[in-house]
Amino acid sequence: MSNHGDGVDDGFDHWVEAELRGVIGRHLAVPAPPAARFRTSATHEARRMNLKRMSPIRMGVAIGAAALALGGGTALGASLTAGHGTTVSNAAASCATTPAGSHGACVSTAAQSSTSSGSTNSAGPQGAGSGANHGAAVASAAASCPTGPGDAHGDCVSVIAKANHGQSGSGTSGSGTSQGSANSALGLATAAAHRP
Amino acid sequence: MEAEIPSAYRPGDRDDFERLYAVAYPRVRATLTGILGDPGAAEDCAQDAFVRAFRAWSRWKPDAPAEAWVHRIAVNVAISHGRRERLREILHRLGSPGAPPDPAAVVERSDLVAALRSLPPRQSAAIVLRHLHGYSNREIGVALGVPERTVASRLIAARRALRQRLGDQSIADGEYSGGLGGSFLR
Repeated sequence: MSNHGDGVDDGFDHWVEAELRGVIGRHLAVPAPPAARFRTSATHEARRMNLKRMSPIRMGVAIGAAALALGGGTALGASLTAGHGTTVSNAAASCATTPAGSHGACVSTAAQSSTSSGSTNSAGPQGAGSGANHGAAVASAAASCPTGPGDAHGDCVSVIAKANHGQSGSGTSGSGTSQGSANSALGLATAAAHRP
Repeated sequence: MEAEIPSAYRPGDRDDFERLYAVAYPRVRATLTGILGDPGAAEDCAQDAFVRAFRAWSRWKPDAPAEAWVHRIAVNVAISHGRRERLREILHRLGSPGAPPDPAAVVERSDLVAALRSLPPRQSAAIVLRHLHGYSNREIGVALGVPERTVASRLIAARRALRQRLGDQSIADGEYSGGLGGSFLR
């Protein structure tokens, strides 16, 4: 083995061979460790390649589905919030005005049922708390707004409800401003009621 | 290197790579131990070499022996490792907190292994491939990615450097004169 025809010194080569076999050769007898690093690396590589090889169509479908889910959720939340006002408005229009007090009770019941379902679905406990405050404000307006000619009572309650809803929804409006709007609406409605 | 049928391995085949690992790993580790002089570092570099080989396995061309191909990757890994080690030593000398090489890890106390470490990695690789594994110049050329004539000149240069280094030391220590048939000390 030592003479490969390239002008080697046989004595030196024999010594190198013997030395290498004595010192390093024992490593040849040790089998390859079963815990090969390339096996672990292969798992990571496969995961990376799976994502990399995802076709553009599949990637587009996945992104589209995520966008739809996000948009649908937002739209559902918005519709639930907007639906409350519509429900109360419809109730105000359809509830009977006689006997006295039955109109308010009817609207209040509709408003509370709408608020509870909406707040549970869209806003959670905090939303429920806001909804309760809003309901109390509307109930108070319904009781205090004068029942004047035409739709003065409904207009008054609506203005107070909107002002109060704005306060509950934003959470940043000053209560004084909201209260002022409510008082102003009450004043306008009172004036309208006393108008000939 | 045993007679290896080039078509025995199929590029990209996982089972074939497992076979190659089982067969070639001990020899690759031994080669790296000869180049680096540190069995721990050799083990680490050998594993790293097989990781790289596995990533490139689908691109391996069967016209070259698979084991020589893995050896080429391993020698390159060893060269990179050597550069990092030298940088670490320099940083250590400059007082940076980089950890110094652990002397206990260098268990190969052979003068020959110490002399091999002082050679350029491709020269020490040629010596180990020739004198430990018995590769021909052609096989070493495939393993190192160079022509046979380059292998021959590298072997000559490596032997000359080893003789000079070990000869000077042996003269000083007076311990190798009997074991080399006299020719080593010429």
